[in-house]
Amino acid sequence: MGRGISNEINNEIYFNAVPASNKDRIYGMGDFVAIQICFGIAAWFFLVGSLTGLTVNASESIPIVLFGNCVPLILVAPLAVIFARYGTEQWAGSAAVLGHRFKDVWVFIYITSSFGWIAYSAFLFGESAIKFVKFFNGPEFLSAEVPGAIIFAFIATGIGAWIAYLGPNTLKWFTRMSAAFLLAVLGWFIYIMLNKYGADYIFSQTPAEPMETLAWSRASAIEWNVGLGFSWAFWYGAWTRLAKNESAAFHGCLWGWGLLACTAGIFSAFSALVLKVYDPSEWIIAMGSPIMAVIGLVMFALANIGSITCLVYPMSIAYRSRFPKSKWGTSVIICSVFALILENPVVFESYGVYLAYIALLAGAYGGIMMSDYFLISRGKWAWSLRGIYNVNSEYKYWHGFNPAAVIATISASLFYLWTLEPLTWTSSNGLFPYITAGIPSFFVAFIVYAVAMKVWVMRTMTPPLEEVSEDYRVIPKTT
Amino acid sequence: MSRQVNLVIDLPGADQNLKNDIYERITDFEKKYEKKLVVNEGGWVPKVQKIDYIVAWIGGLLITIWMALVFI
Repeated sequence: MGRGISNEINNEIYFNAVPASNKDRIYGMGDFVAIQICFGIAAWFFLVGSLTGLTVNASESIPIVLFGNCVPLILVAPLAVIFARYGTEQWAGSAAVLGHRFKDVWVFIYITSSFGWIAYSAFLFGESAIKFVKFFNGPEFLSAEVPGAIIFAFIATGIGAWIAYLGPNTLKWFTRMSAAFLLAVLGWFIYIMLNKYGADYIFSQTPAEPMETLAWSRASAIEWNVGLGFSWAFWYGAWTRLAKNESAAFHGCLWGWGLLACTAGIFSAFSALVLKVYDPSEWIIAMGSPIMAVIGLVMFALANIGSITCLVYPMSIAYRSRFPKSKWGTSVIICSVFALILENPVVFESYGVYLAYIALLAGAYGGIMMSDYFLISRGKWAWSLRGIYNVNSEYKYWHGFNPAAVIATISASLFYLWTLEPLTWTSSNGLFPYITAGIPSFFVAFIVYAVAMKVWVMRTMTPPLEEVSEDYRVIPKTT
Repeated sequence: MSRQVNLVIDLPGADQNLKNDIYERITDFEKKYEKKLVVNEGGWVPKVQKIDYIVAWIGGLLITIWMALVFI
């Protein structure tokens, strides 16, 4: 690793470890919207749109994509406020709620579950690349899903990880270039699709793969989108600790990841309704133009490789912040290489199952964090920055685990699996499809955490800012 | 605030320079913003307003109503 890159990364690790003060803040509302659009528009939105379009019709697809992504985002949006307020890195700050060791468990969950996102981005690029090879009559082995798409997926992962390895300056340059291109091309493709097929034709199409009942189709489509909506809960702090104010952090992430990035999902839903296929890159061939094929490949390449970089970089930073003795190259490899195992057609076809598990995990985490924000960390119970940076502080709880957070995580997970078993897509308690699973599990975590904290954990500990609170009572507010 | 001040920075793998810098930053935060925190007035940067939440909730409510109407 060159000295320049090394210094950049070391500065970044260092910067990540120190709470960001108001002088370090660089992002306003517009910056957040741009960044989150770039991060948001990728395989995850294209594929969830396809799943939706295969299951419900166009008039239901649009509100389902919007509801499934925007409402969970609204539920966890105060995460943006928390890390803007305290300036801590997300997982460092989460120790105040989870406990220092249980936070490490969640870092492990965050990194391992994110391998799936890398795999879906890489394999969708692989799928688009083989269509491109096929369109121009390239070698047969490169135009087949196996091994062609797998080879291209491995290449995409390698390029994405390499850009992440090069550090923040290359990353910023690459994502800014991608953001403008993606929005322009996506808008153009939606226009072409509407022009070619017409809105009446698209809205008259019936879904190709509906479930056994309409209720199951609707609830399943909602659940997949809710999984994507909640997934952002793991990614707030990396960005919003640099917010110039809490409102910019709150709205920028909410609308960037939500309403605006949803255009990619709606586009894919329309594609799936018209072409009756899951793979959104199929329309590259369907359009029948060499120029469209080239532009389509470039769009999927930039969207997905850029997203792999946007995933691997913060994962590696989080990993190295936790394990400072690990070399930067080693951290990048650890945070990307395991995704290769998942880059195959079987996993690619199981996106709905993956989204359900993400809804389970991110929904539970989001519920606990929001419960703490709204009901616990008020007044003298607000977070102590000093306690966050000391593993033996009040945030040690019980051997590094906050029992309330552990119980809430287990309760929410069990409730989710009782309501919807993702592998078999069945409901043991019969509540799905009537209430779905992700959003109710969020509220289970929210309520269980609050009750366990108030009736048990808070009675056993001293409020982190009690002495500040007592001092404040004797100091006139005007001083 | 003796309990707070005596609590040193203790992070696995952090060198002494990093610990010193974190200590200074935290001390700065405690002096300027902790008194705001205990009366729920925010931290390093201007606080989110109720209107921000209201706008978001209204947006979510409208989308939910739209979906419900389509289902009906």
